Amino acid sequence: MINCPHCGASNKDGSKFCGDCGQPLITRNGVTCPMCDNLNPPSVTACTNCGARLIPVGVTPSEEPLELLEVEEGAVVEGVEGEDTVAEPDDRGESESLEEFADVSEAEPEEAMPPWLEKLRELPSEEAASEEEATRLAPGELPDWLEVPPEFEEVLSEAGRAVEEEGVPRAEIPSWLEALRPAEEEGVAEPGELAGPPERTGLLKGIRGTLGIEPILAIPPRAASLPAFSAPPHAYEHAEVFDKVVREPARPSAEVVRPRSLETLVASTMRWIIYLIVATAVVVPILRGSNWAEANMPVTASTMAMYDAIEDLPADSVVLVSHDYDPGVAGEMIPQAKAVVGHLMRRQVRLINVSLTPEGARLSREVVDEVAEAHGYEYGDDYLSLGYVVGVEAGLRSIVEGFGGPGGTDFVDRIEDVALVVEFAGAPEYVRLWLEQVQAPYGVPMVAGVSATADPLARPYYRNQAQHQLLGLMTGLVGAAEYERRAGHPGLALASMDSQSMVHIAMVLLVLVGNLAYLGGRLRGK
Amino acid sequence: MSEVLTVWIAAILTLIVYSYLLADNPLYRLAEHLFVGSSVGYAAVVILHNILRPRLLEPLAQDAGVGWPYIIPLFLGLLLLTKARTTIAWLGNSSLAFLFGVGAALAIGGALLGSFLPQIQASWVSIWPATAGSVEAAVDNVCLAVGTIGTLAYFYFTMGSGRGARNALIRFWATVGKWVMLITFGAIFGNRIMGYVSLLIERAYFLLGDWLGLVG
Amino acid sequence: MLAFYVARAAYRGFRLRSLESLAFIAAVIVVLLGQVPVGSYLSEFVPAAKEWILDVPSTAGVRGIIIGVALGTIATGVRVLMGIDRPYGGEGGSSQ
Repeated sequence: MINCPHCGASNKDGSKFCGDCGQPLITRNGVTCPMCDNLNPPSVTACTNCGARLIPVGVTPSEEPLELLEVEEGAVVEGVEGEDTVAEPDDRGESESLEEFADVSEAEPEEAMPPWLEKLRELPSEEAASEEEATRLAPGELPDWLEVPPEFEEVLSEAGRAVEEEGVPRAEIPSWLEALRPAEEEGVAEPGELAGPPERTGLLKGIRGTLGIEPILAIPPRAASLPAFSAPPHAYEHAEVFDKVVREPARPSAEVVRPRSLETLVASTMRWIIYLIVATAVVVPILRGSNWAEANMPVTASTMAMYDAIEDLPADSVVLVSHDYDPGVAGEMIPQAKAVVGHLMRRQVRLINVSLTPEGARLSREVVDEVAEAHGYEYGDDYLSLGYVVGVEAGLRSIVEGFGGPGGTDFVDRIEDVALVVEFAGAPEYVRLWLEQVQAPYGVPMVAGVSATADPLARPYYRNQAQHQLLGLMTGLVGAAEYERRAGHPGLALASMDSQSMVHIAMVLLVLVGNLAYLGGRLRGK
Repeated sequence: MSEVLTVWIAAILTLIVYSYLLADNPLYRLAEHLFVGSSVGYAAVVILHNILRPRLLEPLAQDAGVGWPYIIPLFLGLLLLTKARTTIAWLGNSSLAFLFGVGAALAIGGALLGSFLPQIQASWVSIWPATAGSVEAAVDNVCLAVGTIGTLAYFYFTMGSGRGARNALIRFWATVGKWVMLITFGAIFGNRIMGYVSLLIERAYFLLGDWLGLVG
Repeated sequence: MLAFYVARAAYRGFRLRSLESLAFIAAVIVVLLGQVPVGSYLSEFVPAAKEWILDVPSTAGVRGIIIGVALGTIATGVRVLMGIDRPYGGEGGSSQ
């Protein structure tokens, strides 16, 4: 186990970063840089390859080893001088945008500088006081390895000539960008003149040619010196545009002008309008007793298949009917059950009713008893109810396998003798349950009526061309209406179809109107 | 008489539930609690009378020579009750282990034979017009196969993020899957709306027909 | 009651922000119109489109989901039976 040197949390062997604070773990071999994966010696604070910090910012710089401050770039070092060497600014253009920042930092008394900052100021002047080392570069001078090799000099000067020949007008470069120009380009200016006034406050006091606050946002901390800066001419134009945009005062947003109360009023009114539309679309067809849908109801292939599967049953065969719905979806399922059980009784088959939900048994008893009375069915002789089956898979299997046993019925001896399983599923898992536990192992033919929500999840079982899983599928109240139409016995479901149609049209119109309002608002906003 | 009473109670409770559209109110909370309580109570009664009594207590009540195997499920069931207290909850572990073991076994068998293999077989259908029956059927089969593979590829998260023919292939199929799933979820949602509307219509029929008698 | 909320969501939430949302909303509209007799009244193309959407892309997508869920069930079941996972409390038997 490795203990993190920063937060002390223990980590597994071989971890590169602490699981708690995310800092690099110092292993025996050193510190791995999180940016470039370079392995650094344990004592460094910045990666030797990319310059990223390896020590959290929470650590005060006084704890940091200060060796790395012997930097090569003379520009940075030169600026950090004592207060008395700071020249007065010549123009205040640069400082205007920094006033806000200046006000904030000027509030801090400069005498109360933290000791680590004092050290920072002292150190470079100590360096300046000491004799020049061979490795120190003159201000603006690039190290050897960064200088432009002679073979490229030609190319660069050619490119420069080509630009001049084309007559491309030289772009107006803002002062802060000019300051970044490498000092070796002669004839442009002394770095001191066009670089703008030196910073007067804060850490960068005395440094010339610094960027304004705004562009600083995305600069990563790099200890390396700036490479030779050369860019195509259009980049200068883009930079100028960017500078202009950034310096412009923010325009107030247009949305603020509209009073908020109107918006909320419109929104809440819309809410009631929508509710009213839906309620009207439901209630009016019911009260009018219109039956346009009854005459025009198309029957889908899946419902037709279910009807045919039941129609083809020989009389006196045994059908296992499962009512797996709860009161929440009873509104859709009871019309389905009524239509199908009525059809089954007209076919003179014997029914065994079960349910995988507690309420389903009770709900189905009402339905089945009512229909049975109409067809002269006797409980016990013509139909049974085995009640609630508990235990999900195990319970289902036990019922199915217990047909021949002591707890079973005398309708069938084994599950294979059942001619059809009719499943009313309020939720998709019930269909899957019956398919997996009864239809697949025992090969019993099966049809299903499902709630509208469960239909897409049951459809792949119906659309199985390679193997019979579901012979037919009925969907929701609409499916019940189709079944009633096909069977020629109209009931509640068919009568509801007018309301259903109206509400569906209302929903589609709401979607379209909502989108029109949204798109219209967007176009207006543009 | 009792029928009229039940209809009135049901109608009033329905209207109380719909009052939630106006605002959350104490009557709605009352109706909500009534519903939850009655469901649980009803389920408990059904389990006691339909399951426990005929399948456990009555066999146990027979003479010991016949009924003794039912001691085991009774014992396991009682152990399961210990789960209510954390100090003795470990006693119920064996009951749960038994339940989970049986459940897992049935689930594996069912998932394999009932869903996995048949659905894969269903995708392995002919895309040749002659065998499929018609050109439309062949095109449909191609779409089905492509859609199924795309959906499966969409959920494949363990591929690398780099380039390479393999990752590009998976990303292509994942894009196909994304579009298929968009249409799938659109269809699911459309059906869901249909379901909700149907339930509303049924309630409206109850209120207007059974309660107010405005509809025949 | 959910019908009311869905209607409100349909007005406020189904915005055509991208091509993906267009596909989604188009599927919803076709299914909604196709399931009721009004769809066949508007055009015979509508119920046919609904059938196609439910039978082909929707079935394909759900088939993928079913296969995935079945695989997951099998894997979890095997893990439970092998003792790696113990969902009822206690640590896994074959943990490292």
